[in-house]
Amino acid sequence: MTPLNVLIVDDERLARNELRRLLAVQADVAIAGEAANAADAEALLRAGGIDVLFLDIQMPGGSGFDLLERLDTVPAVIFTTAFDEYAVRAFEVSALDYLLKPIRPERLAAALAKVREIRAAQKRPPRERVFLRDGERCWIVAVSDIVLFEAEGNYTRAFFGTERPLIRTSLQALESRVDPQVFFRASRRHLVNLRHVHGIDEDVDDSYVVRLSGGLRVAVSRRQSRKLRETLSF
Amino acid sequence: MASTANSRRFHVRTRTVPKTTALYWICQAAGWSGFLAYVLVGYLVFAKEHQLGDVVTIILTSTIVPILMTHGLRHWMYLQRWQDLREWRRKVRQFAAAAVLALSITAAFGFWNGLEHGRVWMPTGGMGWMLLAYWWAFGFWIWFYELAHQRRRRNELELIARDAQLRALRGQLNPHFLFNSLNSLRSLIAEDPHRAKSMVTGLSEILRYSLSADRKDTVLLAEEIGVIDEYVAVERARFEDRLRVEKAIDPRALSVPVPPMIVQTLVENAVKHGISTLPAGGVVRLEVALQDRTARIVVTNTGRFAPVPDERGFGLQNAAERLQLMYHGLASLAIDGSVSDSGEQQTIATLTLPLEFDP
Repeated sequence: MTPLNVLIVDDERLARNELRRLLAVQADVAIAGEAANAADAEALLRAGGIDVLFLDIQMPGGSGFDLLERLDTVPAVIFTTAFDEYAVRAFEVSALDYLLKPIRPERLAAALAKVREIRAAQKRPPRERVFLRDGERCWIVAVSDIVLFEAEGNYTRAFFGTERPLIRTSLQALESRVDPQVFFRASRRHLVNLRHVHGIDEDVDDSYVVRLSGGLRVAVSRRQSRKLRETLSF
Repeated sequence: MASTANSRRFHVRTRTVPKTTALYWICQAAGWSGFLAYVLVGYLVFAKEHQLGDVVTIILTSTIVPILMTHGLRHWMYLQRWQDLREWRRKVRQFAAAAVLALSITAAFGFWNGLEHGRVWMPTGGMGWMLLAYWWAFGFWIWFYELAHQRRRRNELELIARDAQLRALRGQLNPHFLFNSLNSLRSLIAEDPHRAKSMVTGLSEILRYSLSADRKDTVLLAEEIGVIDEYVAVERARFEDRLRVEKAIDPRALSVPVPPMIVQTLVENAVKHGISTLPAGGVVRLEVALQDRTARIVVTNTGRFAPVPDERGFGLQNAAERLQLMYHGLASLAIDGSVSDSGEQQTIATLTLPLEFDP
């Protein structure tokens, strides 16, 4: 069994040390590093190779949520928090857990078991996931589950499942972060996940309307219609 | 940067008249009925002839008119905030108010009725006696009203104190502090059992103090500073060298009575906003000075003052409410942002308490 590479992020040294001691008894866990703030953690995460992130929520210079928001793709996250579990409960869709400090060893073992279970169930490499936040509500969602991004001013509305969160990122910025083989710029306002296209209807002027999962329909601009035909070669 | 634009005052000053209760109107009716009975008996015994018109006048001038007058006085007292005045100032005003009301009702009665018929129905007779009877009645009304008002305020204070007891566990001694400290403690047990032991006693002191805070109106500042020292020691285990504390305390101020947990709340807020949000930490400074018959307690922390109304601000709001109820506006609490001489952002909480105060 390949070890789980974990990163511990907490601003208190004693808290990090305590988690290290708790993890020491877990045979298949390797501590890849620790960070005392969001910026250091971001650098370590961008370097790659982290499977599980133990993340404190309240930290100086940026909360745990701020850290996740800055990442292009998030690893499995286990929140560690002293009291504000309500903040973690803000999650709508998530494959994550939270541990209340001081942490019970059994709870830690259960959280790690859940991570292993999810990893075993997923094909390798594990699915890329992103952290989305709309006000108080948060989601950690697989990129492949996102059907559509729609620009709303400087913000973007993401469509997945029955959720429609408005995220504080421009469509431009999002486009640069996602795989261009998967996400297609249908128009000035729309970024479509090609894997969720169920059908294409002809519209006037040689342009198309794509039918997406969840009954969504998006008009493709004339210029992009040509490109869509080339990409999908029909 | 001007500090005034970036400040938030916590004074709880309201110029409102409390709603009347059923009991108030019952007391009004009962009190003035008694007065009416007194005047009626005087009329029946002393007047040479009895007329229905006289009886109507007596009823009006002994019940409805004085009830309207005292009800108006009640509004005036609240709008002028008599309850916040020092005792003797209030007494002088009350004495004068009773006199003014008695004079005006006697004068009005005299012009309308007394002068024309030359009749006064007071048991003892004569306008002078009438004036005295009214003066006495209005004076009694004010005395009784103040008694009731004080009783009500005491009940309110008790409610607030009970609330404060809950908040001591839920808010003032914030659960973040408690659980993070317990987590640090768990870690210290492995790393430094000796320090872990002293942290246990420190935490116990803080818990005991905050639990008993509601049972005392005031404690000596020395006691409050003692528990602040324990608190800082526990927080230093968490924040290590990120937390630096400076104290400048006038030793004469150590025997000043202060409401428990209020200075502690200010220090805790300073740590929460000034230390835990800054990666490099910062300095919390506690200064106590005696000045103009007041104790000035100033808690300064490095870090920008961000007057964002969040739910955690209620620790300070609660402190301001308790101060208002206990000191009738003679104490004040203000939080301001400013820039220090060395150009650093800082947040300053200033608590001013009167030295001599008789609650």
